[in-house]
Amino acid sequence: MFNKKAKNKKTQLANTRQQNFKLRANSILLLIACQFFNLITLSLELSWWMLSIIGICLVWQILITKNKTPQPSKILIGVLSVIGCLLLAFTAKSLGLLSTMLHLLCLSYILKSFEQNKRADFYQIVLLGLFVAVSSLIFQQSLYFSLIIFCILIVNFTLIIGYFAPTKNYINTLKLSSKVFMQSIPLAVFLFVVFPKLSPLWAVPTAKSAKTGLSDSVQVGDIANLALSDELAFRVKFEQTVPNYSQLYWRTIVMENFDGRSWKTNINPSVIYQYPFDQASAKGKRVNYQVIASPTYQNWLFGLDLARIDSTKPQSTNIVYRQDYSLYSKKELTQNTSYNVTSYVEAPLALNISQRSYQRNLAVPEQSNPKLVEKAKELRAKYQNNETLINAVLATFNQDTYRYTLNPPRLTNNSLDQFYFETKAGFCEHFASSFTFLMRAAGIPARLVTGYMGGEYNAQADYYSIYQRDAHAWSEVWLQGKGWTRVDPTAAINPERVERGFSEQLLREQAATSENFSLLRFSNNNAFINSIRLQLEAIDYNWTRWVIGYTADKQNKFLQNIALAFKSMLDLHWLTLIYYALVLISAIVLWWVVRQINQARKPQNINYYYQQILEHLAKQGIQKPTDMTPKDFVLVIKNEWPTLAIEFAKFTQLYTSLQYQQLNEKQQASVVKALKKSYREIKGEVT
Amino acid sequence: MQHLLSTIVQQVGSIVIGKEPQIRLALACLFAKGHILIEDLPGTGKTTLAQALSKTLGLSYQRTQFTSDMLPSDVVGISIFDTAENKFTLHKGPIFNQVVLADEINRASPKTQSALLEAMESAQVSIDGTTYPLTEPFFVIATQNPLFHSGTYPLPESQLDRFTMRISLGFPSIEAEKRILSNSNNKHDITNLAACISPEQLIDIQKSVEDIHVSDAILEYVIALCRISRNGLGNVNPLSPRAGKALLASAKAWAFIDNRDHVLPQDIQAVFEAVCEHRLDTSGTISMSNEISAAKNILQQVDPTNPL
Repeated sequence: MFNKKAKNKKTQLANTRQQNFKLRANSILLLIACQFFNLITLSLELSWWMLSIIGICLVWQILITKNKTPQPSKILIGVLSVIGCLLLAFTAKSLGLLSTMLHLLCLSYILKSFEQNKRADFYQIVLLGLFVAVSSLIFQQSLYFSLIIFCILIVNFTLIIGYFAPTKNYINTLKLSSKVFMQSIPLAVFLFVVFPKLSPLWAVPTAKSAKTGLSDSVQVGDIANLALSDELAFRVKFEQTVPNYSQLYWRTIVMENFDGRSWKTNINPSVIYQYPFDQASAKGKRVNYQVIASPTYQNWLFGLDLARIDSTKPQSTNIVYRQDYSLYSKKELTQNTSYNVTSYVEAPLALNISQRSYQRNLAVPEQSNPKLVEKAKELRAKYQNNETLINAVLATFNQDTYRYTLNPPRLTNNSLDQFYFETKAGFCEHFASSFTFLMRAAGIPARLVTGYMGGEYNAQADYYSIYQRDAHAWSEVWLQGKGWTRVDPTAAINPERVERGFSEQLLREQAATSENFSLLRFSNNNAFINSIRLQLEAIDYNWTRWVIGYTADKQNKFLQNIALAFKSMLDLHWLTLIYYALVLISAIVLWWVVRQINQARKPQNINYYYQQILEHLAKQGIQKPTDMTPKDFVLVIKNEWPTLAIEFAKFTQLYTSLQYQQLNEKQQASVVKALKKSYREIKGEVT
Repeated sequence: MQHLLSTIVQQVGSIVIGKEPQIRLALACLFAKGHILIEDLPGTGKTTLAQALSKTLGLSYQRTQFTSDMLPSDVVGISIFDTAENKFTLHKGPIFNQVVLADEINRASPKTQSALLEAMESAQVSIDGTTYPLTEPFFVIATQNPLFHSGTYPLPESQLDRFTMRISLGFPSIEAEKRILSNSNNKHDITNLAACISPEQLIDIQKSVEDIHVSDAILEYVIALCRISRNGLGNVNPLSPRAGKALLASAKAWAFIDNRDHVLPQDIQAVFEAVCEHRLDTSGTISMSNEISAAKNILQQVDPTNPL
């Protein structure tokens, strides 16, 4: 009866103590700010209802801090979380697994902040916040975004430090947390470099996002739209020889099917063919380069003709060749992907083609563009030779009143007739599309190729950046004895485009059409800004190459290189073993250090040791009656466990003198030391 | 000093036979500048203990028998017009002694009781608008009969609170009773007792008791004990901070008697029942049955090594 009562009272006391937890006002404001920053990093990935819940909750919290509204009841929070989960359950299918989990994380993060009864709650909120902030790196890994995340992390650290070392001046705390952050960088770099990236454990989940870049079907006007974007498509670093600018045709998708309106690729994307590399053609001048592609959430890769993947590199297993000489990744590009390519720039493509392929590339839908078909017949009658015919068409583009523009007039039903005979103004796909159509109608096998043309050279870091605005479409015709031959009608109408890139006029058009501001566009007029931009881009390039691109394979290779120094002594297998042993040892050392730090912290509460011993004794069946004083308990031990009695008496003596006597600092230190020693001895004996 | 203390205990013990714990408690109460209430049946040696204490400590002493027709002026004194000198002169009451033995305090009317208790609280009395400080050390030993006896006015809680301790002597053991019965000249023994210490020494002792170290752990223990009494379980009056102070002061004195410069949990436990029982359970008197006392109950619920 009394025991039960006593227990109740104990818990009551414990509860009252815990309920006293309260953050100071400026800590609360900082916490809200942290929540805002942490969640805003994910704002692009969250759905509107989640964002509105977050907004309401943040405003609500501010109102609570200002005492405008009372603390919400537990039931209300419960109801809110149930509503949130239901909404999630309904939308889960469209969101996908990763996004659903992320929503759940954000929901728990924002709702948890209403429940701050214990110190542990505060810890949980801070940890959740760090998790939220860092998880946004799944979606974006650019240098600038990472820098923003680092700043947000520093703000989070400020919150933690401000909690443990309350201050009115948060500037100093901010300085301190920045310092702590800086100090942790070497350790972070070290762990980044050597910590094993074990795939299933450490792999970053892949985000599902809108596809960007070229698509597998193209209508007139598509590429002109794409060219309004200044987003980075990929970067290329050439090893030694760099081809001429006008040779930088980055083949991406080949379109062989034309239905009168749009061009489509012939290859079913759901089936991945492993087509062998055309070894026979691969002769002549070679260029080697590395491509780092930005995430497109598609499978297309980029390469100069005739591209051959460096099969010695581990990432090459994910890439297949396709019959049309394009490169295709088995996995969607959800993050920056790099691969090494050797291109035989002078090699002919497909000197022989199958009858089926031949026929496919001659197919013209019936009833489509009759005037062009008529024109083709006329040309065919005029020129017997295929090459003269081609040159004649190109000459028409060049000499007639055709205009190369980013803002072509709209065509009804995507009629190529209308473009060729009436409007006479278009972007590359207009020219390429109508040229290809003409060729087919004239009996020359032809197809449309989309990809990128050119690139911007960055002298700072010696690489090329290819932006979405460099998207391009050109034609390929198959000629007997020459194979597939690239014909770019754009070169006929606007030679500058294929020799130097966007002309002044195109840039003006781009600026006029698209309101989006970008540094790239802004810097076109100013050499100084342009040089700054190139510097920044070079940094970003190196970041992408060395930090984002530091994959598990690279890590293995790097460590192997280190290992090579020892290779004369040891076999590589041994080295891997030693490597993992080292990781294990450092983990143990880390654990030990943490334990030491924890123990060093404990003397502030001497009672901890005594209570620990009491717990151990209770496990052995010797329970101290609640109201018994330490002195009397020594007598109990004397009876129950005589061999322990002397040490326990000594321990109790030290404990009581620390707890109850007035000691100066020096005495205290020596007694604490003796107590710890005695504690270990008793613990050894008792357990 | 220890020698002196044991002499005092011995000497008082030779008169009040077999009651050493109570003697120590009474001493502790005195050293803590508190007042004591001795409660028991008539004839158990209450008055004898009070007398023996004051004699041994060498303090001026007066006994006042409280009766139902007593007036406050019988306790504090009265100004009487002196016709020879043609002015009022003060006739000091028994309260102006260092030790006031208020015998059977609960037989006086509440008005008279409160006159005494006010003096106890503020160590001064006001007569006809003039305030007179009382002598130091000032120590009230009150005795009272159990409340179920006829002709008693129970002391209200607020006034019980003024007494630092309430102790009960209880019947002596067989051995002790033999000695009491065989000793025929008890009264003579008391009047012949010599003082062991001077009042100045007593004041010094009171000062050094104040300097006894009380650690945070002890404070937490005291607070935990008080808080348990306040949570409304077990039908007890909650302990006030004044009770906590009295408990701490008594524990310090107890530690002093035990020759320590710091308070230990056992000091708290030793004085807890004497200090707190009459504050916790004002319904009746010291329990005669075997039921566990309210104070013991509270003590049992708090772990001195992990109080809060």
